[in-house]
Amino acid sequence: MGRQSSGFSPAALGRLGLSREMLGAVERLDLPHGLVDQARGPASMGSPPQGVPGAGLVWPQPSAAATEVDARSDVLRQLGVDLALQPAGGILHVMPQGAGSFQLRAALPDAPVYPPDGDGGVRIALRQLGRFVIESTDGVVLAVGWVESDALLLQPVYGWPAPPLEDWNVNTTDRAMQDIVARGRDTDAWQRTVLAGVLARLATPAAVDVRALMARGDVTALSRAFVVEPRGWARRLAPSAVDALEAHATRRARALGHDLADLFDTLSIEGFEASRSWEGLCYRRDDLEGIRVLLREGGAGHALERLLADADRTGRAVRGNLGDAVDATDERLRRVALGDPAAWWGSTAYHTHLF
Amino acid sequence: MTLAAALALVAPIHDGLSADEIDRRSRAALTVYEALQSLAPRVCHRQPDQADEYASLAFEKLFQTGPRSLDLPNDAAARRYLGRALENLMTDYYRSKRSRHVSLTGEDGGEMDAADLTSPSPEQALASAEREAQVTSTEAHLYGKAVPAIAATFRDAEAFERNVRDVRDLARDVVKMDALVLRESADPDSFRPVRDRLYQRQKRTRDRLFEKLPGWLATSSLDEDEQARVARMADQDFALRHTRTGAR
Repeated sequence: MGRQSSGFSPAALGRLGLSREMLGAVERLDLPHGLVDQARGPASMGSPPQGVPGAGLVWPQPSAAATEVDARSDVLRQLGVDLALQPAGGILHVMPQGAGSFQLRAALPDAPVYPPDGDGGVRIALRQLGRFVIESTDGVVLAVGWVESDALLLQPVYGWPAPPLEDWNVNTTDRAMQDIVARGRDTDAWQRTVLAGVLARLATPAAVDVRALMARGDVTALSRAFVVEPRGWARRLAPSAVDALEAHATRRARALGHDLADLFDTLSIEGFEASRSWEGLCYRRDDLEGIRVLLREGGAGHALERLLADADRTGRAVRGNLGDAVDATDERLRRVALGDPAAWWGSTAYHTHLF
Repeated sequence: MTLAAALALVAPIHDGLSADEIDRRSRAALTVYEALQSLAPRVCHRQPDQADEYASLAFEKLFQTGPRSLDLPNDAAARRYLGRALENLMTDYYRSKRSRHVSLTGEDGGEMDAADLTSPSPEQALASAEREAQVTSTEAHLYGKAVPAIAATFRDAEAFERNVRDVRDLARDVVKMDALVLRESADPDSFRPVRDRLYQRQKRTRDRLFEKLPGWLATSSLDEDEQARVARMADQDFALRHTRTGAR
């Protein structure tokens, strides 16, 4: 993946209300050799993919029963969208995970959405697929994509400014946290926002006499700069930025709940190879916890909280069944466990408050 | 403001908050801090001189990670939550102490937990006897009252109770999974499917108990400490103890 080579010019992005700063890393999914040209047919072979639904174009007649090959897109999967390909006819099937929803349209202002099939997905011939956007049903752009040679390229879109982590990081004396945050320097807006949430919640402050401060009722003195600055940043975000952040977070929360439910349904000792997988789920949940706190401080995040409550019910049930089958005990998860004993995603070295 | 409400609200104070929000957060902070101060001597009874420090540390961490989306049914549940926070901090202390011991001496001091401390004093021995009596009483509440009451809400109450006993006995090493499989079927060819079926059944049982026990506790006549002990015992018994290589 690389961040530089977007298939969208600044002008094309501008027409969509987007800018280069909002784009994440490009993900490239190789398609079977020749499939795109074959799908375009002899007449259009070699011409740029610019299909737009509307007059003059014949919608493909894909068969739901035709053989599909699953395609894994990390960009789309974390947004709760799956991909599959029907090699016969070169049909791309974009579909929601579980009860999620999305819409797909050509990357032109006011382009109509591609009509969904009965499952809420979209089947579209690669020959018709020009530059396109995937967005939430209320129009928040989540990702852009395009076909190039024998590859489908996807790029997440983050419609909010990246937080100034470096400005806040200097205010903590916590070396471990400084290192964690420093590693986020060149990441995208989502990762930097996640790190803002981590810094605000999990950085260890310099020691103070809590008893003396509380005796004076001086709660403000406990609110250190690195804790409150990310919260203040979230509160100052424009409404459209808050919507975009929450749209990404809710989709990740739904995908997390989906993956936890899958795990719960298939949980068994020999099948659960698991410490790394579990740790990955714990990190995903903690990423969202930081976003939840920031959104809450910005007076938003109610939809996210509802989805996380659902995911957490499953998470607690899975954690209750894990016992010592997994070992997820790193420093970040340790801090999670000590900061919130009800966090099922905290270090497995500590008891969780399940009831 | 109830403790449960304060626990959900407690969080840092920053410029973006209104005066009303600052006031509510400040009151929530004081409520949580006072509850921790009150709980710490009991929870950290093995280190009474450190109880105040644990309370302060727990408060700082809860304060910093808020506001949380906790939906605790009552203050008893909130106190259990705070008790768990203090216990985890004690465990953390002993883990880091053990880690330092290994690093300084090169010897592994063995598994050390919050329970691993100096030789018991007469007061501690007395406390230990009291705790044993509490365990017996807690067992009676959980397995003699709560589980039958919860079982009665299901169509096959008897099967639920049997599954609860299986899970508990596995957790306590009273029985091995192999023995339970053989109880179901002596046919060696069916061992694996029977075992998988048992796992699924036990998983459902835990899930149902997780779902129903908080409601039972909230409507029971148990005082807050007893409720906390019942919940803790359920936590311990219903976290299946197994390793990746098989039943412990």
